[in-house]
Formats: sequence, C-alpha cells, structure tokens
Amino acid sequence: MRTEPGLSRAAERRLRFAAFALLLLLWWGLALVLHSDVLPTPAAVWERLWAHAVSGELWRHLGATLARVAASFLIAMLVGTAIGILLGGSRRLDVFFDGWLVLGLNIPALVTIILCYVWFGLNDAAAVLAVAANKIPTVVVTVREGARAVDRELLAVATAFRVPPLRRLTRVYLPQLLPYLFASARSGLSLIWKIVLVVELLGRPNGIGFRLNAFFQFFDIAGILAYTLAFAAVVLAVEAWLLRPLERRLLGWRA
Amino acid sequence: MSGGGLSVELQAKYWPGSDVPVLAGLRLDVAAGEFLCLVGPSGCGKSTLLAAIAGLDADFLGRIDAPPERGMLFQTPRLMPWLTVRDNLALVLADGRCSPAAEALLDAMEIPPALLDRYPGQLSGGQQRRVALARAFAVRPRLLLLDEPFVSLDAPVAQRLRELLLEHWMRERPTVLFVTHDLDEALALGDRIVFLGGRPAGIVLELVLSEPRPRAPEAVWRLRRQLLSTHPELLSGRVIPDPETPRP
Repeated sequence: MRTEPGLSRAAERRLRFAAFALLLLLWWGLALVLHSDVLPTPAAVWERLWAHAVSGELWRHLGATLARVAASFLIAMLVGTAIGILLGGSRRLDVFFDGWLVLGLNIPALVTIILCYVWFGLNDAAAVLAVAANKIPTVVVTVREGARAVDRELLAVATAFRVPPLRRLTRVYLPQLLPYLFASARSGLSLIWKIVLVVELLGRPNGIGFRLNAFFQFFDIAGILAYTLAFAAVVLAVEAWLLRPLERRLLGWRA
Repeated sequence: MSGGGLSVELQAKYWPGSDVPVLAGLRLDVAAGEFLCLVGPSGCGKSTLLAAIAGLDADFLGRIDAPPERGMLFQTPRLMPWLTVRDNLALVLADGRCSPAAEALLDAMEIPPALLDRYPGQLSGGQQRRVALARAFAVRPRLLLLDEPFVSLDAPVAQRLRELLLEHWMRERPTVLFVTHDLDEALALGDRIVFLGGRPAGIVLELVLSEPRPRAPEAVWRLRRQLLSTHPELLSGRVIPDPETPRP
C-alpha cells in the first residue's frame, strides 16, 4: 500500500507479480513430480475453468455466491459499525454488552448457520443472516477500537464552531474511523466469502460452495481448484480495483 | 445580554469526584467589542472557564450569556488533518463551502493561494496557526475565544500572529476573550486584564489599559513595571509564576 522510499509503484507491481509466478511454478513442479489425480497441473485446472466458463455454469454459481457475499458484507459492516460506534462512545454500554460480544466472537460459524437454517428455513435470507451474524462481532470490535481512539479535541472544534450534526459526522468523526473501517472491510471480505461457501454447502442449491460439494462427491480436484481460483481472483480484483484505490483516495492525506 | 457582549456568572465548577471547586463565585462582564485578557497561573482554571463559555463543558453551576456566533483558537491549531486548508475553513462555514471572503481571509493571514489545496500536515506550525486564525475569523464571530493560542511558537512568528489578530479585531470588532499566562502578551493586547488566582480560582485583580495599540515593547515594559510596583504580590508567585517568559 504505502511505498517505502526507494520502492516505486512499478517495482512494487513487479514484486507482486513475481510472488504470484513463484507460487504457480511451485504448484506446477509439485504436480509434475507427484503425477497424481489429487493434484492436477495448473493447465488441467485452467482447462476445467475454461469449460465451465464457456458453458455458463461458472458464472451462474459465481454470481449467486457474489450476491450472498455482497449482501452479508454490507449488512455486517453497517450493523457492526453502528454498534461499534455506540460501544466505543459509551463506557456504560460497552461494559454491559462486552459479555455478549465475547460470546458472539466465540460462537462457531457452523452453529450460527445450523441455527439460522433451523429457525428461518433453508432460504437465502437465513443464509445471509447467518453469515452477517458471524462477521458482525469482529466489525464491532475493530470499530469500537476506532471509536475509542477518536480525537476529542477535534470533536471539540466542531462543537465550538457549531458545525451541524451531519457534517460533524461525515467530516470530523467518520474520517477518524476510516482506517478501522478499511481494516474491518479487508478482513471481513476474506472471512465472509469463506463462511458463504459453508452456508452454500449446507443448504443452498447453487453457488460455489454448492458446486464444490458436488465436485467433492466425485473427487474432482481440478473442479474444486478451478472454482476456488475463480473466486479468489474476484476477491483479489475487489481488493486491487476497489478497496486499494478507495483507500488511496480517502487516506491520501496521510502520505 | 445582547449585542455581542458576554456575561458570566459562575457559582461553581467542580471536577467529577472532587469536592473542592476549581472555580467559584466568578462574575465577569465583557462589553461588546472589548478585548479582554484573562491571566493566571497554569492550571488555575482559565481554560476550564473558556471551555464553559465555548459550550464545550455544560457541567457547571451558573449562567453564561454568550452570542452564538463564536470563533475559537485553541492551544494547538486543531485543523482536521484529512481536510485541505480550503475544506478546513469550509467545515465551519454556514453553507459548508469556502467562500471568496474566506479565501481572502486566508490571503490576509499570509497563506499563499498555492497552499489552499494542501493538507495541514504539509504546512509549517506557523502556517497552521494562520489557518486556524483565519478559520476563527471566517465565521464572522461576535465572540472570539482564544486559549493561549500562540504558545510554543518562535517569538517572531508569535509576534506576527498577534499583529494579525489585532488587525482583524480592529476591523471586525468581535468581543475577545484571550486566555494567557504571559503577562506581557496580555499587556500588549488587551483593553482590560482580569487576573485569576486562588483556590478555588476567582478574580483577584482587574486592570484597565487605555494605551493605544499596537503597543511598542517599551510601552509594554513600562506597563509591566508600573503594575508590579503597585501589585508586588503578582511577582511573589501567588498569582503569576510566569515560568516560561523570563524577560526584562
């Protein structure tokens, strides 16, 4: 993200690419040495990926998973941020809900998922709710940290100059929370898509998780790797073309 | 009180958990357009009083009448580091935009136009204070509150900022409450000086100054000598320890 002195943007890009190429080479070498069905070569995986992309199946499942990720991500960020701000701002609320939070952090994702399916039925609302419920406590913890660190002196400036409440929120308060929101969004994205796969595997008729389960029944490792890579590519793209530019834009003043 | 004056009747101000008040029985009236300096030793409650007047602390017994159009200058510039110079002014203005008048004000405070789109972190300490001073005047305040605004600056920079403050005060004539522990600064600027002291703190002395401004260093020195000869207790350390300004 931040370039050290002496490391240009181009050099940074070369390093990222080199790391990726090295991983690919290691995989390829290992697959050739083992020469086994349980570790197909990158070429075989690519072939499978291409076939599913052409048939349209990949896009159907990818789309379903992405929609669930997006919905649960937005819900978790909004709810978690609101609660985090409240707890960070009030010692009383913080102490009261601290036990709940610890509980929420430690309930296994699997338990939430099963309970949501049992209580609300095997539908997408239950699936999204289960994933969001898993992520909300971690958002709360990060944002609460940010809310505690908010500079009271700068808020006092807004008070002294009678800055209207909405402007105070968007230009004085939230900018201080942004680094925490980004940290939360990053870890959130990677956590959420993993949980979404479990939710799909347990009770949805489509999505990457559902498809992985089908591959698993046939020990189709190439299929599993193909779908995994497809989704990982999406996550990397979101990071590189959405989160990182957004962060550079919003936190540019720190440079 | 109307017309931009300030009226304070503070019965008591306690810190939470303490049964000795910081401030007690304090009555202060500042006429519209008056430049009042509030002087007292560090930690005597000057800033506490200012925070109450600024509406930053509502936890006190008493009554404060202050005009709502307020500008304030703090001990540190307190600019929002994520907003450009221009947006820092826009933040406090009624419509949220940096008006040409506000930009003219920045120019008057010797902030060149090239700096308007910079972030505060890219400015020098002196430049940040200038922006903070422009911000305080940009809201066209009827009451200007200053809390030791020029401490920890090089003497020439502080001197120039005092001149700018005086210039704009003369032009706009807001009521000014200037808190400082630097007696010379108060003598150079104020229409009136109110000394705070004791525990709980109250007003221990008032001094009206009629000398025209800007006041030359010799005039300030003469005032100081006069004051200390009639009120030697100010030197005894009971009221003004004045640790940071060992001057002739």
